[in-house]
Amino acid sequence: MQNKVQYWLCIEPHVFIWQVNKSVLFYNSINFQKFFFPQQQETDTIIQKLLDPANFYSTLIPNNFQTNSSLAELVEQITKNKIGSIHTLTSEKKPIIIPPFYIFPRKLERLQKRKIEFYDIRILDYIQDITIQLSGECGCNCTACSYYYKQITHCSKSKSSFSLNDIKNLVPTLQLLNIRKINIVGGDLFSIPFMSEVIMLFQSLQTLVIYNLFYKHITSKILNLIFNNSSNTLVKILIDIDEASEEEIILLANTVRSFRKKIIWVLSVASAHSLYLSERLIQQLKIKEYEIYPIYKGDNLNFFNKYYFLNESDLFNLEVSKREIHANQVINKNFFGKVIIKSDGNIYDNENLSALGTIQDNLETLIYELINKKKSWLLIRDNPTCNQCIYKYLCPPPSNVELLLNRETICKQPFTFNP
Amino acid sequence: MLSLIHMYLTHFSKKPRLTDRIIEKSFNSASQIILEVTEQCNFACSYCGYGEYYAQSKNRQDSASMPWKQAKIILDYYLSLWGKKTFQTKKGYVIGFYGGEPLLNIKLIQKVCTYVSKNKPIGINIEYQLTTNGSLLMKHIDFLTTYNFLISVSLDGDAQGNIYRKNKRGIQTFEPLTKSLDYIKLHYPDFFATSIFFQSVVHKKNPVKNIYTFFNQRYDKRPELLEISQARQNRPEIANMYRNIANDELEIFRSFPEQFFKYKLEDPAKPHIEFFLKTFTDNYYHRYLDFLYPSDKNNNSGIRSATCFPFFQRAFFTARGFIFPCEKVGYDKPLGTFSDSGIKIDFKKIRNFYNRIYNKYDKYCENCLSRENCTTCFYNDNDYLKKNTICSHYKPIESFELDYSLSLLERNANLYHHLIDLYYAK
Repeated sequence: MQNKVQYWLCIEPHVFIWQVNKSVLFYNSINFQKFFFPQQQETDTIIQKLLDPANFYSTLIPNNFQTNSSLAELVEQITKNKIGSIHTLTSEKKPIIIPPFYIFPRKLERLQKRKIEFYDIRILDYIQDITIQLSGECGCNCTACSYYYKQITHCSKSKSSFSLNDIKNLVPTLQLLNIRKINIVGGDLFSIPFMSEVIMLFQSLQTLVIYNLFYKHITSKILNLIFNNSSNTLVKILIDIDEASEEEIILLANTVRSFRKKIIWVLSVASAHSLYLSERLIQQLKIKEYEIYPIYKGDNLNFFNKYYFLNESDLFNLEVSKREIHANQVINKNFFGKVIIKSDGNIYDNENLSALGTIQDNLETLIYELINKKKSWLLIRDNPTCNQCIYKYLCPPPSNVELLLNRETICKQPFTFNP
Repeated sequence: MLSLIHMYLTHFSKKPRLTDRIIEKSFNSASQIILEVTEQCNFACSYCGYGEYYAQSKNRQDSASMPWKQAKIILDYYLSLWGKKTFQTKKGYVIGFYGGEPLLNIKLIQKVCTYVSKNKPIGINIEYQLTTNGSLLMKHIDFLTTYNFLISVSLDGDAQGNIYRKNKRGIQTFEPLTKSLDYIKLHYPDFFATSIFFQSVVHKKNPVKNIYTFFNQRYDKRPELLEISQARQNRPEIANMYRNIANDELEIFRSFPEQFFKYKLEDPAKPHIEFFLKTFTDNYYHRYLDFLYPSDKNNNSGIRSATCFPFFQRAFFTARGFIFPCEKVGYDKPLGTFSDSGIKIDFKKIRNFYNRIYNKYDKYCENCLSRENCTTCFYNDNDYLKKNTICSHYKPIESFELDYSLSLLERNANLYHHLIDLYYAK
């Protein structure tokens, strides 16, 4: 007796299916193709079966599915966008496809539900990136001084400074960590009289050390001091394009060019004009290594509305891999692993949040608290607005700009995406 | 049956590399130091790793005891490191005592505890741990309770289970030991409940079910189960005693499911399904850092072997003045020495040694089923020092029984659903 032919609708293991209210989004995380499918009676049961993990991303469909216009449409969209395919089988067995659900047994919420304490013997490995403000003393009077450091790695002013002894005491602890890089910021770093000794101390760490120097503080002598005494070093030049003159920038470019070392230009832009200027300067001065950051300065929200916050078509065109989607569901990739030590001894996970503790505190304890209280490292799009949005996990994680502006979303004027 | 499996094909482009900096850092920040206070033992268990069936190292006999002067050198070294006040990185440390039978050198243990109490830095917690055959437990119980020792007692279950555990005169040890334990349980109930743990060796005459039943009924405890070690030996006597824990647990699950759940054992299908998900999908994450750096299990070092970085877990100091990364690696290749004049350790030499072995194994790791989930320590390979050697746990990908795993998934859809429900945040 011949077995009956069965039609199985199978979804690729790298495809995500999200449903919010009356709409379903199918997203292929390899080719980034996506399509929406509205809720319909004829196809709802099929979609619910696909969403159930116990069905392993496959479900039977009627043999005459092509006569049902909604189902035929769904199948066509699925196959056209390489979301899945139809397989005909004559046996009783069913296909097994593993859906892209992440499995993370040690997720904090899971442990808390089971009343298990979160523990990781290597929790200090989590610290990947440390920013140390050696001194807050500075003679400049930048108008946006209180804004830069809250958005990017940048110098800032304060009345405190570390002593050489403080830094000598800090270095052995840094040696015990598995940090990938150290950012050094000021104030005016080279007003510190023992800066050359500091450079030697950090050189002994055998980790990438990045000196973030405000452009007005840079001279050949300083660059000589840094590059002659250290090998695993980068210099980042911090420039606010709205405040620096073109002449200053060109002069600086000439000074820097003679070093032929690894220098990265960090350009802060706060307007469309400065964005245009920065692009022109990069071309004109043939700057190869640069980063451009929009900086909110309190009065340029329009610039952000136009150039930074996402609209619907931006969201629809996002291309995000499966790994990034998993990450967006669990950690904040912008913040995770970052620790900031200020010159007053306070330690932060994020400059827009309150201090975690001080350098006198036990570092492991601070990191456990950071995890257990779900501070910036675990800040995901889990707020009421984003929870209503079908793009929730395609969206980049919350950023410093959102924290500074006290916004829940990175999209233009928070609204629910529910097409 | 149709199967669509996403193969996790992360390619490691660089050779595994450990640096001497990592090793030095691990040694200096070891949170556990284990002191082999004596090689002597008053038992002669048949399956003992230091017994007649195992290859003996010239670096260990059965007679030495650690002198106090040398123990003090180790203590001073670590107490000064643990005491660095600024920016403390750890809260608590462990000093473990090992043997032979460590309680045979109780004088040294007492000296260590007294010395540490007087000299430990303020704000640092130090815990003491001991692995013992239990024969001298009752004699020293007051001292052990005073210092809140965590004690691991070797006891293989009931009398039949302990058939291989004899003293040096060939007399069975079950009766006197359980008598001591009963006494301690009666007169020191809190200490017994919170600080005494058991280790049981599973062997041909000692199935898992009997062990669990014994401990559950007599002491309301669940022991840690150990298999007879196959490393550093090739004797038929060991093969005759050997018993596999996983097979026993599967048998309990099939035949006595109510006991399975009573002892809170895991569904045996679960590890298979988890292994499959870990190996053949890239959906499994061990720790938070994996979401940032998926290919980086160990410090961006490229190492996939589960062999711990030296001294990452602990540092082991033997009675004869040798330093090892732990007490389970055998005695053939010490990583350092210590004596009356201090500790001698060459981190570059250790780096070269480890990298040579990692490189040797790495060519198999690429094609191994366990490449993302290795649990193999190379020290457990009898031939790890030989030039051309294959990891004894190497499982080529081609050998994987995909059909079996997929059938398991099919039959255990509920378990998969449960795993997802447990771990996945929608």
